[in-house]
Amino acid sequence: MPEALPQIAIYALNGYVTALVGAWLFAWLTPTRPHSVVKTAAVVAISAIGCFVVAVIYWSFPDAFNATGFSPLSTGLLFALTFLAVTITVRVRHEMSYWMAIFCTTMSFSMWNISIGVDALLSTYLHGIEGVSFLQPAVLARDAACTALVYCIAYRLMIRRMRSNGLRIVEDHRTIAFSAVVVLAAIEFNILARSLAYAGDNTSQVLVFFWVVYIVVCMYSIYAEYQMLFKKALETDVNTLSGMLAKSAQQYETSRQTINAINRRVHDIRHQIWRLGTEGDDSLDRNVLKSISDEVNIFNAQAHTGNEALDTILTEKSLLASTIGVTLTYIADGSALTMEPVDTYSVVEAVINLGMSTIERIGDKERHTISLDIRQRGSISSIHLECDSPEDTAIAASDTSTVLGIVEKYGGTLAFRNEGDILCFDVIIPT
Amino acid sequence: MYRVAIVEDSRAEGANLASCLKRYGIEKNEEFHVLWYQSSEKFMSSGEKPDLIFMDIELPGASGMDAAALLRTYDPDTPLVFVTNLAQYALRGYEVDALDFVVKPVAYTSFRTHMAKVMRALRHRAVTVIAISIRGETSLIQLGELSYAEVIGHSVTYHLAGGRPSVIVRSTLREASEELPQDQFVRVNNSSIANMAHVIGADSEKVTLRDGTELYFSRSRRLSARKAIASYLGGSI
Repeated sequence: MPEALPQIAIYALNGYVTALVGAWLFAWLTPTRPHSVVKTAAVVAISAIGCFVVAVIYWSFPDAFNATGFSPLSTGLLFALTFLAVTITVRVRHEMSYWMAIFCTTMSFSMWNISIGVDALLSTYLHGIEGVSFLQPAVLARDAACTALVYCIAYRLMIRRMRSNGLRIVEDHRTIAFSAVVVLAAIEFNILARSLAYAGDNTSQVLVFFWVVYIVVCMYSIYAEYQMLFKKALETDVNTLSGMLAKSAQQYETSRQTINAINRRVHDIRHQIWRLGTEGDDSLDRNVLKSISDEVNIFNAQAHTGNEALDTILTEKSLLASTIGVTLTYIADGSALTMEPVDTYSVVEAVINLGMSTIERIGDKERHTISLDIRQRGSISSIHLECDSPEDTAIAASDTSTVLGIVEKYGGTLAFRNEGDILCFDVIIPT
Repeated sequence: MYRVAIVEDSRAEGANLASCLKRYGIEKNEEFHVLWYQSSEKFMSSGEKPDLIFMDIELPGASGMDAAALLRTYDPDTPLVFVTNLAQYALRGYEVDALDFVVKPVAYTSFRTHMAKVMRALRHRAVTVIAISIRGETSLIQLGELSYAEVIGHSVTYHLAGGRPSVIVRSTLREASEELPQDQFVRVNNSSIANMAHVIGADSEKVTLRDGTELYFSRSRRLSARKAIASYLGGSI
């Protein structure tokens, strides 16, 4: 048990750094806040000073806590402070709510608990119940190796999957708060049980059994939280996507029927104009009739790409674009898109909507231009959208979730990039 | 300086397009030399090989689409942009590998947006060879012919298309990567870099090149490599 001032300070600092690294593994892909480097450095520095202050207090009043070193109360308090400091540090660096930051810290503490368990198991195996000072270099190295091992395994099995989908969790505050309390309680239980175990007349076998149970409980705690929050978020996404697709299917059918009806009416009107021109009285000016016929023809705006779903969405969006003063140009090979019609409709609709919502933010109406290019490249379908955008427009993951959800079903992917005031959005789908 | 052919029968439209190019050149510090043709026949018989072509579709005699189809029989690469009010025809621009199309009458703000894509295509064409030093001797490799590079042992092998013999250089993949244009080559895994101009297939596991080579994504590079391929094939880079 640590007793000297530097030992206590290193003990506290080691805990803070270990937990912070774990929490950052979860938080890493979340966007960082402006000036986050300076602010994070400041919070880390304050936390480090805090570790030293706590060490001074603990060292100055050992009797208040435990005459022989750390008591369950004092250690529990130290871990709670560490939890708070790590949560604040993560929140300062990344664009996330406090609940999300608490989630990251909770998961980190859970991983850390497991590594403590593994380390203790090894220590019991190597040194029996006597234990050794934790500041010995060999012990420090073993401790670090155990932590690294547990973090690596957690990364492979869990974090990487979460990060590849973006750190999206359901912000179920009660579950997060409950998990945080469970984690801190587990630590407290660990310290209490450890002090009892060392104080009593137990054998190494009892301790080994205790540590194995402890590790299993911690692993289950992580698994349960992961299932409750992350899996639920994915299920919510899938349900949202299914709902949107059902809505798109309805919209696709309605648009298709409306456009067909308009085209039939346009055809009828043109036929009537033609009859007026050829059979009507001579007082009708044929040039005027031709002009009216051409004007009417504008409404016969149906795109003919050879793909009915693509024709429907392009026609729908062209009409919308002409009404709101957007120049929408497209080169489109209908045969390039071999997805289900409703998927084709939904993907192209979502891509054009992304362009529309981007140019909406530009005040200058003359810059409201969207260019769409759909074609086959080898055995890949490529959808490319390009439009003006405010400088360095950021696209949120939620804006692209519909497209991504559908194209991933076909083994495709998407990318977007800003080039000054031009936004490029690309989708590729293997055919 | 880029030589730009404008094939447009309307004097007013041709002048407008030339003026847009001039303004864009001033704004972006680029220089364009404009060649104007009033019909596709005049353009085709001129023997000029411009860097960029703006082609009207509705032209006297052979239409812009017909002229483009003929052009592609001997020139598959020069960026071609249709300028038209016949959107229904431009829609089929992919048949002649048209890069883009601009609606008439051309407004500068809209033209500027389209030019961003055009300039990327022109820049791609600017770098055509890389110099590789082999035992003190410099060898030139046409970028268009380079299919992929892979590291084997302490050497990098440059695999060339069309059955040409590979070039082997004592180097590392990192050094090779620095030599190649970043916007055309993508690191697929720890041992290979693919020329995205040769990509004809890409799924979630691998990329397929024109010569039939299949390169598998490494787990860590899969996401970034697939995004790069999507951007390249769409013309975003």
